[in-house]
Amino acid sequence: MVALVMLLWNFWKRLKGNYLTVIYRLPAAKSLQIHLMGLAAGVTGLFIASAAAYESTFAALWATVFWIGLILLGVLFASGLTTLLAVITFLALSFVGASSSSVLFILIQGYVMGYALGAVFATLYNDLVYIYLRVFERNLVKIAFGVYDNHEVNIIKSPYQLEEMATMEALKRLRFYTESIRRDPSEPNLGNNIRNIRRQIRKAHRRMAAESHIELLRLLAAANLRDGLNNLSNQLTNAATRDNALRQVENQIEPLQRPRENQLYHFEIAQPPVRPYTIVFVANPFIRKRMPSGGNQPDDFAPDPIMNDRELFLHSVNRALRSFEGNEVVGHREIWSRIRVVIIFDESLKTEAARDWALIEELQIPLIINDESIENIIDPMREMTGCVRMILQRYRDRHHDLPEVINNLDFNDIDIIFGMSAWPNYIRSYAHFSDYREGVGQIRNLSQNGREFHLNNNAMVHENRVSEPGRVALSVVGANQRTFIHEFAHAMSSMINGAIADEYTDRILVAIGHGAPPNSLYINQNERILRGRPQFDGIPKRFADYNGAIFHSDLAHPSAEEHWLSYFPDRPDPDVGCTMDRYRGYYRFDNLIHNFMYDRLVAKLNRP
Amino acid sequence: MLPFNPSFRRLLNKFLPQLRNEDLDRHESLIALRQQLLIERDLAPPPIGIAGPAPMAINDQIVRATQLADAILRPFRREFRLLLRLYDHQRRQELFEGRFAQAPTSFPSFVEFVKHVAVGLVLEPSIYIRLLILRASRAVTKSDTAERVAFTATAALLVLGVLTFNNQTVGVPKPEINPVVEIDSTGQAVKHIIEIQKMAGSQTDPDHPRPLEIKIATQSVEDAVAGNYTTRSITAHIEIIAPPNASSAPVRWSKSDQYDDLEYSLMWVQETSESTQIVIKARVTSLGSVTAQDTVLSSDYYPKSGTRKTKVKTVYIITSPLNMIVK
Repeated sequence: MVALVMLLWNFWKRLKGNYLTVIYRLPAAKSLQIHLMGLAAGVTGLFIASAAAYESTFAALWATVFWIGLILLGVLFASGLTTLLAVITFLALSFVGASSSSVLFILIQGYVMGYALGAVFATLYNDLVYIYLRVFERNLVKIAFGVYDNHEVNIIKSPYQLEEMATMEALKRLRFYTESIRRDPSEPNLGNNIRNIRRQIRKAHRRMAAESHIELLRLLAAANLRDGLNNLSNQLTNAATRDNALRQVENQIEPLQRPRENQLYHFEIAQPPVRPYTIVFVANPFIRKRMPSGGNQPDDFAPDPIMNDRELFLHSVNRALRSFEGNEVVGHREIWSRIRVVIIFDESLKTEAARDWALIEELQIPLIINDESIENIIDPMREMTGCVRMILQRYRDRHHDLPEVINNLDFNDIDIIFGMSAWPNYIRSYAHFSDYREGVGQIRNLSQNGREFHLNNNAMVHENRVSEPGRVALSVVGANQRTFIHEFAHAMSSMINGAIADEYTDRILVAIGHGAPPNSLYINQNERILRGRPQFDGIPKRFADYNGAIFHSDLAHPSAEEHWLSYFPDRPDPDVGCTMDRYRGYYRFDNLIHNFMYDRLVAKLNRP
Repeated sequence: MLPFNPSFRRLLNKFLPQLRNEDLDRHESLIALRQQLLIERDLAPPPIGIAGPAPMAINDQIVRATQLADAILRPFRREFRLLLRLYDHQRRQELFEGRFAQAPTSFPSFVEFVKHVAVGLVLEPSIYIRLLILRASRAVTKSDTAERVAFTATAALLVLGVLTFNNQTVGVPKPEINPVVEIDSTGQAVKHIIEIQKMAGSQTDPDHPRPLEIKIATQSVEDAVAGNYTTRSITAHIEIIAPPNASSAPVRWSKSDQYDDLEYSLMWVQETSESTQIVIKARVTSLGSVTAQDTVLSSDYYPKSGTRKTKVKTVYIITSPLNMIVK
């Protein structure tokens, strides 16, 4: 019911020209799944009805057993279809005037009534919980971010609050209106924003205690509120006094309004980084299908379903934010507060040439079985970086009146690109390290400015800017909470300056005579030498020397098999698996990965 | 790249018990290794510092990893593909329902949701059936045997239910046309037909309750060949006291014309919005153990309101002790 109201409300808002979508983060609360609740109640109703059926036509025992068995089998294997058929049968029997003593009619009636009862109950329960949270627990409902529907590019999180335009407007902050006046002091923008400011002050006035009430009037320099507001309006309208009035509103009135109370992140950074670490989430317009010949024809591409489902995209971004903020490294307040998140959802690309705008492809590798994919991996395309650059440029060309802060979004500051896909049946995500391009290998940044570090006496650099952003092809269907941070770790590491590898594999699986991996390629994987005799070398206790700190090896790696030669850094908690491993349950990064990621993020957040 | 989502693993475990968790682990490890090797292949210059036996060329390692990984899933390729589609469908449903208000809030999302549900209605059962067929074609294991026994028992119950359709009231009830031949305790086959006929009288007139005439016909096997019946008729008066829309109808019931070997009684009268149901139990003592009988009067016999129909309808009462049915 609430969903229907929300749907209609969104239509109404669109008709009014309001193009702001807000993604809320609700507190944890029990909700019921409508279909499952309906099925449970339906089956209960079926059994209750069977008693009635037996009572009235006690000779029809086997018919009762038959129909109950058939309905139960249907519920087990095709619950949706069975329910649909049951409703149709019920209506048909009712229409032809079936006798109340008909076994089928009695049973179907019990099932359909039960299902309806359960589904309605679940819906009402969920709606009531939702309404309760939104009305009575308003402080617990947070605004994760806001998005302008008519903007293809939105900055949803930034150390610069002004960049979070849609979020600011969603929060109805005075700062948004004052900035809007500064950007465009002409009518009708000026008049609209003055009205909004007055409305916000009135709202604050209603909510404030007596002391603040007096304080507010003092700030407005008037005996009563109306005079004060009129005075403020005059000052804002007058160009000579406008700046002063705007500063007054921002510095003195806004704090009284308890700003950002409902914003998810409350970070206040006095001196934000010059070039924030930037993560881009982009909805993939087209996908390149796997072609044995590596085809590049129009038929080799298909539209990605995520472009038809903006909701799914936004909620997937929300899941990603939740994954990041809950992580011990990325979610560390001094790191997460300085990270910028940009999302791109450009529906106009749907009508463009697919081969020019495909960001993701089915993994293009010849397989053995009838040339059929059997690992179901999506892969970021080599052209992803260039496409994102072009999308940003198109966005700037299309919106000439963009605020300066948005125009300052520099493509070179982008560190990681998440391509989001809902392509069916390809449920495994895949990431490429930074500074890597397929067919080329390592891409070196000529400047290589950054913070130097040493891994086992090898000098490397946490470079200021990547030469090629880390790329992730993320399946929103197959991803769980862990996938986002796992792929982030791959993508943020560098092909040149330390890559973070998966910890559930070993090259002994394919080769008896094999070589050690390239030196210094992987941060978190070392390999022992294979001996051609029964004896074998134990895992060295010392895993690595990272900037003078000694890190030990994990002697009880959960996924290691008896013949593996690889070994990995020790974990902070032996009961918790590594995020890069396949260990199920709780997960954290290894000690070494933790240090490496932290240093790398800090270096990039301090880049000039 | 992460291994398969744990929920997909559970689906694999459920429908493909032949694939052990160790097999899936190994498959995932091989795929992860292959992806690692693909990236290393692009490195220049090629890896150095090789020790031990001569290394396998990296391309050969990639092919080998692919072969080994494929070999694990190859026997179950079709099932795997079906399970993937099933998982994809279920997962999308979860993603929708995971949003607290349980539905999309924009029109394109709404269309996508409806489309998804419509496809899923057909997709889910078809995949289940195909999985069952594929599974049935595989070699029998111990667990399969137990499953097949259970499946056979269920199927037998269903078949039995179908076979008894002719004798049950399924769907819109119809008067039984074909009489049932019974065998009494002496081995004599008899056939009973009880007719209930409406006599003169009006239900709306409380002073003249409507009588019913009940006729019972018996027929032995020998008589059946000759087409003879022994018929006895009785008349009963049934007066429904309650108003027509009452959920249960108290009645007055009086009997006349009794036979020595015929016992009968009114079990109950129940009225619904559509019909009036009268159940009569009769017992013919001269025929040994033949006892329980019942009947249903159709709605046009006792119309609920309006002008009473004058049509006289005959309803057959069929004796049907379950353990004595001979068709």
